[in-house]
Amino acid sequence: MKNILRELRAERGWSQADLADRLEVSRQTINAIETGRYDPSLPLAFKISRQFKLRIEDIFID
Amino acid sequence: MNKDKITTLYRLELLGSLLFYFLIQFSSMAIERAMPEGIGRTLVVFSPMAPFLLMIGVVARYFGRVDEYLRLKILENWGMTAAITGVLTFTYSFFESAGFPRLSMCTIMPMMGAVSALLFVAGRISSR
Amino acid sequence: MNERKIWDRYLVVMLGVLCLFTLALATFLKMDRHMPEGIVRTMILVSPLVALLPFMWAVVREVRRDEVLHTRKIWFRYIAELSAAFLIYAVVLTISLEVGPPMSKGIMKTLVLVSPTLPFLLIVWAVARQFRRMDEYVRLMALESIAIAFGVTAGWVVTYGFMENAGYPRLSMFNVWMVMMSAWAVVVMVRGIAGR
Repeated sequence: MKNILRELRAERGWSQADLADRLEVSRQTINAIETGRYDPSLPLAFKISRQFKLRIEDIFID
Repeated sequence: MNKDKITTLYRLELLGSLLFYFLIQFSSMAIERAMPEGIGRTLVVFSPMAPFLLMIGVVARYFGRVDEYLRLKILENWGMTAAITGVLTFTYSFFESAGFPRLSMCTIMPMMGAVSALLFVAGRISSR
Repeated sequence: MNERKIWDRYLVVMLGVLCLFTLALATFLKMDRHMPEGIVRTMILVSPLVALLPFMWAVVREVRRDEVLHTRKIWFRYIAELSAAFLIYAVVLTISLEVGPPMSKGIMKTLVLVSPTLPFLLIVWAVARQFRRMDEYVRLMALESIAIAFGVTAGWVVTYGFMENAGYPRLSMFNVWMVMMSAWAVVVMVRGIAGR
């Protein structure tokens, strides 16, 4: 699923590893979500939205 | 294709290919005893491989057609089956060194199928 | 940073291959029942576990280079638990191989020779615990790898079942486990390299 995760990360100056640390997942997961290879589960999607203080629909483009 | 059609089609295909496998297997076992050594005999002995590959194809098509929840459940089931089968065969290898006889590898496949079926049934019972 | 990680990845693969080779050697020798009893036979049978040590060292090196603290913590705990379980298994195995064969036939001899099964269950438990700790994507990847390895093993078992009908001798059940472990290791290594 397309998403704006990379841009949101760049705005805050976070690397993939930083974001992975904040979300308590591995860097491979963040990479897979950004490249669209993997859709996060609902709990993880909510964690992401809470991290960036945006709605899920604003981050992930259907 | 809706869910009921997928399941009934899958079950029919699986049963059919299983019967086909038994047919080929038993007839090959009956024929190969009378045959002389050679390429013909080897082909007859290995002929049940074809319906077996057909069964794998049936399962793979079912896997491709179902939704992601079922796919996850099936993968988890295979993982557990792999672990349990591994534990059982590994334990038996220790029994072998204690003097128990070597078993044919043909016994492993039905055992794997039985473990997998039991795990599916246990999953359905526990989700009631 | 990336170059060091690539070299670490190749080091893991090389040492993994060495491990598999030792494993294959030990399997082949275990299937040969004509080896003379004694300390040499025991050492050969335990050698795959010793070959695991450089492999684990390479894996630890690679985990240390991971930038995510959460991942590092999980993997170090897993390696610690797994190493402890393997150590207990190696000790129990060596003792059972030394004490067991000279005993007279009976229940006690069977129990002694089967005793390494319990530390083996410890190893399986350590792996299961890691599965629960892994996050969702990594768990899915690991499950897929095991399923592929299981498929390869099932293919081998069925093929050899047919070969037995054609006249090949019965093998020890040990080879099923070895094929499964080797297939899993190969699948993980290939996916690790190809995924980069």
